[in-house]
Amino acid sequence: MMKKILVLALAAIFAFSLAACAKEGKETSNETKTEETSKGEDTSKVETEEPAQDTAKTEETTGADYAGKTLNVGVWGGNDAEVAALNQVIKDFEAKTGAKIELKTYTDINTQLQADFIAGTAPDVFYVDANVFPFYATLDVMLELDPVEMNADAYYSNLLNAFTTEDGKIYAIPKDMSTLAMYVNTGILEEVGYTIEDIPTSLEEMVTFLPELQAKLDAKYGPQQVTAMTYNQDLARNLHLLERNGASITDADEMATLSSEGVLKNFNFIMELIKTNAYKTPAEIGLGWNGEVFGTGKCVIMEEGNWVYGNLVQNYPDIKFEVLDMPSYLGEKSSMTYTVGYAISAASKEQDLAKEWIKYATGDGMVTWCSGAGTLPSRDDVAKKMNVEADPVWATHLAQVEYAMPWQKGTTISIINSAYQNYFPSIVSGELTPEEGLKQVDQLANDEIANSR
Amino acid sequence: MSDSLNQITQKRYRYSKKAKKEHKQAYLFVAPAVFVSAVFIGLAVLFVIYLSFHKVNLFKHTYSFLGLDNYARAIKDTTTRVAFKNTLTFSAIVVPTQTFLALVLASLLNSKIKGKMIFRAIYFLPTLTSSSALTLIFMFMFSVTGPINGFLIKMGWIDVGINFLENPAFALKVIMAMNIWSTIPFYMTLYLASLQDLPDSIYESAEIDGAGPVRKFFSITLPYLKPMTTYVLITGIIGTLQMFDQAYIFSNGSGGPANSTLTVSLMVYRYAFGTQNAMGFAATLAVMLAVVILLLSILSNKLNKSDSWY
Repeated sequence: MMKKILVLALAAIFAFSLAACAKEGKETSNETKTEETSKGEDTSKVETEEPAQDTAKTEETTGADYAGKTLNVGVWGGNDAEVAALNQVIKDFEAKTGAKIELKTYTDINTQLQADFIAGTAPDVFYVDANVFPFYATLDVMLELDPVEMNADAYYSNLLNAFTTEDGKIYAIPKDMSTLAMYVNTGILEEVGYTIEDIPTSLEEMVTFLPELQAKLDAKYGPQQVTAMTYNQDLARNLHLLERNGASITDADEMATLSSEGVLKNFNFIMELIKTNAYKTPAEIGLGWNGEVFGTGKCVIMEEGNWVYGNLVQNYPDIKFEVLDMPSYLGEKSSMTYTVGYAISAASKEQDLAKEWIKYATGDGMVTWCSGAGTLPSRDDVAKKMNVEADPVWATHLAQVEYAMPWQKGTTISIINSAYQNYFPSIVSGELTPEEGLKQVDQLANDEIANSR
Repeated sequence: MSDSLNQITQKRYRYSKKAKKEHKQAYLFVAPAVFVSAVFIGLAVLFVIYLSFHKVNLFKHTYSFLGLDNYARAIKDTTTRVAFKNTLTFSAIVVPTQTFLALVLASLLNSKIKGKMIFRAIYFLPTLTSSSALTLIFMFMFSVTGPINGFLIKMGWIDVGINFLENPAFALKVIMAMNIWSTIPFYMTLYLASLQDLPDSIYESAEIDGAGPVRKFFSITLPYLKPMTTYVLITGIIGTLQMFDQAYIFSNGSGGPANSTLTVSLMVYRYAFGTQNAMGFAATLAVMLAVVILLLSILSNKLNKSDSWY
């Protein structure tokens, strides 16, 4: 009997705690709901007042139609400056339209966004990197955007092309961009008797210049203490060189063709630079990335994106540097550009509001975003409005967009890049010849692609 | 066989009403936990097995049956073979080493040395650190200009720093060292907890019989710890065969240099979350890995039990 009572009591406690949990959940959701509706009421009051005051302001009033609506925006986290800039854009947009923006911040967007699409919980609007855009385009998860409505002509055409499928449909609008440019530590350079004018403008000249510079660096600072120039074993950085002269790292079927004649020739040129022993990766120097190597005065020249600029000014104020155009190769200048766009989920129930957000964030909001986050605008009129040219560093980075290649290459690029990074060290160490190494890269990548299909 | 079965069923019928009621209550209490694990583990496992026989596009909800195609491809695939070889090598070296060292450390810390509490606390620290942070620390230590190379150069054993991180001959070994170093303390603590239950009287009587410290270790400590060893071995095997985070951080997700740090879990991840919709093939690899883990766990359990220490 005693036991029975105990069991009943336990069961009662259990049931009660469950009910309490459920109740709590309900309560909180009620709370947010009332909050939202009260907000909605507030703004709707404003809305009813506004037309009375100014009936001519049609655009403003259509904006106010969104009062009480919520838009989910999927982004990835950034540094403090980026978060603050985005929050400001959101605040301005909310004030303008009366809608509420709910941010969903991903820590690993590639896996999490995929899971969200599968589960049907994807946000209405989301960041899409140009690099993964072709993959999302195959999934039919993005809403097609009307070029006239979205004012597509305003954006740099190579950036917009990155978000256009082969049949000419646009699925995302570039929100900003970054480009690679060449950074030179003028402090060290002058210490060893050179000036910024001595830096060659072509990579071919670098092959002879770098060893000379390295010899002087070794004499001044001791052997291997300061490296002439850094590079990265990454297709995101090397693609524009490897695909020069009509070469392509993939065939029509998106299979890897790095060991093809043209790519191999370009790769062999990179090897010539590496063989100078004055052209090294941050890992070979024992540090994490170019910015750290450059900032700590361990290299004289690096090719980096504009994100490093603020970092250098803030974290390494003692470094004196200038930024130059990327060096040419085979007589042509080139760079890489990295762009991220806003796309709308095809399943979104707030597509009009989503378009409104994109128009704002890539229009008026772009000034706020780019000047706060330290990126380049993706359209010329905003660049002029921001007076990007006033700062020589920003001006140089902006100038690269003219000939820069967007970091994008079909749906198989992440597999190919993995394979490329996988075998690059073995080629540098001499274990594999460039031809053997690139053949291995092709085989590894193409096996993986074949298994995936 | 049927005899014993009869006995059992007869026995069940002999339960009193009260006992049967209690059983019902017991099932009631177990039900929520069973339900939760059935949904979140059971269904998930079944779904993975289902996926492994299909070409899947989870975005468009298309499943086309392939039969054993995925398995045939996985077995023929050279990269898969490399991944299994790396994973098994990793496990074969890490598990025995960490078990042995944990055992030795535990019995040392169980003895009457001075300051053993401090030693215990110090030894336990690596377990408290996240493995991704540890990976970054180890990558710094083993970098070309890191402390390990600095030490080797200072001792005059090498002239130029070895690029441990980008040399296929060393990369996996660095991860092994890190894994052994970081998992020993946890297993050591398990052994230690077990050892503290061991009554001193057994050692004392052994001493009276004239047993030395070595004999005591092999004839008392080791047999006493056998259930714990089974647990340590099995969790060790599972943990090492599922190694992912260290390889991922170490190689930036590529499994390099030259596939030397490619593990099966890393491959599963790359297929599952790559840009080719290869969830089906990823599921196949995951099932194959699960089967290997299951077989090895059974084997280690059998081996550990068949030795009769008692």
